[in-house]
Order: sequence, then C-alpha cells, then structure tokens
Amino acid sequence: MQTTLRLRAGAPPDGGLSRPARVDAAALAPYALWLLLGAGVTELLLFRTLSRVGVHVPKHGAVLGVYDALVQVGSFAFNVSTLTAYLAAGLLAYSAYRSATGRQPLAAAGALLVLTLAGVSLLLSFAGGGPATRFAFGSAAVVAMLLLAGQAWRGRSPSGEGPLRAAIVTLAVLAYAAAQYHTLANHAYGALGIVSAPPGTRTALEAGELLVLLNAGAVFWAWSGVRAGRRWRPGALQVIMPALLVLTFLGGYFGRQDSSTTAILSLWTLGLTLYLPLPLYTLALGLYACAWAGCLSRARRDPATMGDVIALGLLPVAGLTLDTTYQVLVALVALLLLAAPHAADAREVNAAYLIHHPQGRLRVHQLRADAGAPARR
Amino acid sequence: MPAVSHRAAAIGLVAAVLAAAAVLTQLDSRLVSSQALSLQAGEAQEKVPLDNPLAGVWEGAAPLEIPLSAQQLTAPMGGGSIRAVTVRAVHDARRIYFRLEWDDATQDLRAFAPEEFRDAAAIEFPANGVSTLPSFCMGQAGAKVNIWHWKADWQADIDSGFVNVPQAYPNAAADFYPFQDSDTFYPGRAAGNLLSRTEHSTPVENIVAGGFGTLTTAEQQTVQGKGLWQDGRWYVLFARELEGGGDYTPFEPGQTTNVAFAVWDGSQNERDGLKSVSQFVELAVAGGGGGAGTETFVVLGVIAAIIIGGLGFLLYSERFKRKA
Repeated sequence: MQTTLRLRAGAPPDGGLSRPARVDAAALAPYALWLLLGAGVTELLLFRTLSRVGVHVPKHGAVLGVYDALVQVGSFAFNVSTLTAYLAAGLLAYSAYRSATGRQPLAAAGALLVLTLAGVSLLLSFAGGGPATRFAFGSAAVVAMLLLAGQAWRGRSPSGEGPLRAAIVTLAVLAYAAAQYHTLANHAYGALGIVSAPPGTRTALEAGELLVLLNAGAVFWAWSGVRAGRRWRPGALQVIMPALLVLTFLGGYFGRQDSSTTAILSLWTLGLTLYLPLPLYTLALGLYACAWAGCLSRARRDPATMGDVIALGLLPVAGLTLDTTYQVLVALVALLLLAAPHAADAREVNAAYLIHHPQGRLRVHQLRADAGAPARR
Repeated sequence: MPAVSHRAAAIGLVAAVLAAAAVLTQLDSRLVSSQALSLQAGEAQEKVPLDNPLAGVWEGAAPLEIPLSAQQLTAPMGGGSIRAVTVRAVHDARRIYFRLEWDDATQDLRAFAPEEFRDAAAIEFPANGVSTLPSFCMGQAGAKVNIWHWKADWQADIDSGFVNVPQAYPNAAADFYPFQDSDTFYPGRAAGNLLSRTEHSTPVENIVAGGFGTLTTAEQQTVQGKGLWQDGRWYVLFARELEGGGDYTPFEPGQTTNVAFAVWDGSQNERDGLKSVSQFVELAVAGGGGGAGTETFVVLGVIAAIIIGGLGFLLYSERFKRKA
C-alpha cells in the first residue's frame, strides 16, 4: 500500500482528484470526517438536545408532528454518527500509524491505540461491560490522549501555530483526563471491590470544567485571527455566529418561564454543570464560536487547516464527560486531527468539503483546472 | 485489485454507512456502550436493619460519590448548597436498599412555620414500563418517573411525635375554635391527604411524576426509610421490596436501570425546586449470573492479549518495512 501522507511524502499534482488511484485510508478519511461532523452536530442538536427538551413542546397539532420528525432525524443521525466514528477513527488512526512508525514512536503508539480502541468499542457495543471493562477502556483512551498530546509537542503544524497548538491539545487532554479520573477512579474501586470513595473525584471534575473554559480562550487566540492585533478584521461569520449562539444561550437561561434548554444542553450534552459564574461560560462560548468561524474562513484559503475546522467542530460533539464509547471515539478523532494534522490528506479534506459546498463543484473543477487536469462533468 | 477512484470508494462507503444506520434506526438499536458512572447494588452479606443507617452491613457496600449542582431547569431555580452525595446500594433478593449520606452542619427537622424548611433527600428512577430515559427533572409525558422522597420532619414526627401549634408556638393563645373536634376542621386530613397527616408509618413518600407540576403521591406507600443525623452528616436509608407494581420501578437481580438523586438543605431555605440535583447514573443490581471478579480477570486477559498483539504488530511492521 502506498504511503498516505501525500503532503509530506510527495502527492500527485492534482491531489488524487482526477485519475483513478489505489484507495488508501488517508484519502477516504476526509469523507468520513465530514460525515462525522455533519451527523454529529445534527444528533447533538436534534437527538441529545431536542429530545430532552420535549417536556416543553406543545403536545398537539403540527408542533408535535414536527418535533417527532426532527427527533427521528436526530435518531438516524446518531446512528450515522456512531458508525462514522468507528470508520473515521479507524481510517485516521491507520493512516497516522502508517506515516509515523519508526520516525515518531509517540504518534505511532497513539495511533495504534486509537485503532485498537475503535475495534474494542465496536465489540463493547455488543458485549457491554461492567466496571472493570469500563475502567480498562477509559484508561486506554486517556493513555491514547496523553500520547497524542506528546505528539502535538513534537509534531509540525500546517500553519505554524507550533507550541500554541500543542498547548491547546494539552489543555483538552488534561480536561478529559480530569473528568475521566472522576469516572475511572469509581470504576476501578468498583472492579477491585474497594469499599471507600476515591479521593478528589469531585474536585477533578470541576477542574476539568475549568480547563474547558480556559481552552476556549486558547482556541480563540490561536484561530480567530486576533493575533494580528489592530490589523484584525473579523469576518461577518465570526461576528454573527457567536452573537447568535450567545444570545440563544442567554435567552434560554434568562427565559421568561425557565431555562431548560440551556441547562439541558450544557449538563446533558456537553457535561458542563455550570458551577462557575455564568459570564465565564458565555464568554467561552462566544470565543470558541468566533475561533471556529475564523478557522473555517481561513481553511477556505488554506486547505491544510481544514482538519482543524473538523476537530474544533467535533470537540463539542464529544462533550467533556465522555459517557459513551462513541463520545470517546469522537474526542480521540478530534485530538488526532489536532495533534497529527497531516494524518488525513488535507487536499482530500478540502475536496470533500468543496463537493458539499453550494459552489463546490465549480471550485473542484477550478482546482483541477489549476492542476492541469481535465475537468469532468 | 482493480483501481477505484477515491470519490467512488467514498460514495460507496457513505452509502453503506447510511444504509446500516437506517437499519439500526428501524430496529431502535445503538452501536454504543456506556462508559458512565455505575452504582452497583451488590448482594448484602448480612441482614440489613431498616432502623439503623449506620449498620455494619453498609461498610461492605461500595460507595459512589455523585456530584450535585443547583437545579436550573425550571422555576424556582437555585439551591446547590450540597455539592455531593455519597450513595451505597445493596439488595437481599427480597428488598433493595439505598443509603445516602452528605455533609450538613445543621439538622433541620421542622417545616411548621412558613419560614421553616426541612432537610430532605430523594431518589428517582424511570417508572415501570418506561422504554426511553425520562428527563431527570420529574420525567415527561410518556416517560414517567418514580420518586422516593425522605423528609426530615416526617422522620422527626416518627421519632419524637408530631409537632403541633402548642409546641411550635408555646406562648400562643386561642380562646375557642368552632368545630375543632370535627373532621371538617382539618379538611386535608379528612380527605386523606398524606401531607396533612400527623402520624406517619414511614418518613419516605412514594411519588410518581410525568413532567413539571405533575408530582402525585402514589396510591401505595411502600418505601421504608430511616434518617439519622450525626456529627454534621446525614445518613438516610431507603428500602423497598424488589417487586414494584403499578408505576413503581421494579428491580431484579441482573437488571440495569437509572437512578438520580436530590438533596435539600433547609437551613439554606431550600425547598421545592431549590435543591441540589444529579443527573441520572446507571444502577446495576448484582446477580443473575457472572460477577465482577470474573469480569476483572477476563478484562485483564484481553488487555494482556492486546498489548502482546500490538507489540507483535509493531515488530512485524518494522521487519516488513526493512525488507521492503
């Protein structure tokens, strides 16, 4: 099988778009990643959130019909997302492993562990498991995350963030590790039959939540464009999107009757208990959304950063507390993309995105024409 | 192998995923496994006394510390003064028992005067026959919840007798109340309202709800309990027969269901929606074959196999690369 890292190891001039080639993991991974992001966000909004605020939906007429239909779509998206999580984790980890073996032992070990976890999580979905199994799976996931954080400090980034990117990955991994300590310590005590409460679990969980907020600030600093200083001119999307999200968040919280949407969204879907002052969460949400929009704008000009767009979109889908094997895999995929940004063929990531863009076909043809390849209709 | 374009392969892959997802949705099946906290209700090694939450049997039950947060779902929002509750659960094939414990510097036993609020604790389960996980805030239409609500003032009534006006307001004086010996003088009691009674056989109210504002006292009060405050900490025992009946959550060895908790601190003016709540966590009732010990050994074996297999794969890859 050919080496998958075309950007490093010499890609064909057209990025594999025009002529048939042997299919490899890195070329297929972007399609799985986009599908995972789309299905993940859909299930987050329609399944995990909407189905849980059903108590406030009028139980009559067209409203109920629309609600039921949307939840059904969300249920379907959840299944698409879980299946795609296995696929994306497998493809991405395999291509990362293939490209890293020997030269980057940390990346190779991390990728191999993610690959194994994808297989094991599929097995667990049939077999289930008690405290010992959950402890083993969760511990392995944390080890994989730590390996990816290590790789982030050693690896190169496509757009030169370097240490800042590594710091963001590290903050995310520390947040996950803190939250997982709360769960895994209890699983370990249960598996070993220790009849006392593990120490510091609640503090660790709260520390993880604090790290999430800090990381939103770091993500903003890295990807919003604010580092340009006075020359920074945020795009329309960078203003509109955070404003809408913040208004929805605050509107839900201070709504006239109750704040169920906000609370359920944060507690049940993202795993945030809102124990800190509300303005901190509001600020973090706005900064993160602004950074994601900025990252998306930048990726349109620089395809190499498209993986970051997907990774930043997947982190909220995974949430903090990683209550299911699916959420663990989504988190690992996001961290893999951030820590080893070349694992997926960036040109294919961009092509896969463009195909789904309203003007995508035109842009793909233009990309081919620029590369001297015939554009097919 | 014939050459295939990436896009054709990707389209095939996406189509396969969508088809498989459609089948799973149709079958109402999910390809995920829970990684969340699990409260293990093990088999009790000795008799569980209903009148002593500090009995030695609880030292052999694994505790689970569950974080609580202020209730922020529906008005009145607030509470959150109790940050965590430690829970243990056991069963003896006839009854299931829970013991909740939490730090509370004050013992608030009365809710007699308008400005007095009692300490309290509650356990919530998906009601009998519910197929989807209800909202942890009182459930929802079509997905009811069964709640066991322990009240410190009921506990005090049982332990020390009902507190009436002369005890609450010793200096109050009233010359005459017409019909004060008639049933209709206390219409709540006359109507059989559980909350109006002066005598209780249990400090725990069995409740069913299907959404905000639908809390209803259950027809059968089958939950026993005992609360004890000692050295700034409450220890509250709940017990019920495994079989539920009606809407009441049934339990059986080998079963996995969900459970959520709530605690009120009366000295912090917590009552009604002003409380500390948890999300649902998994409750596993031990028994029905298999055991934690067996599982631990199997998992350790699988981990060893994965490590050996991974190392072998790494070595094989390196040799293969060198040969290539």
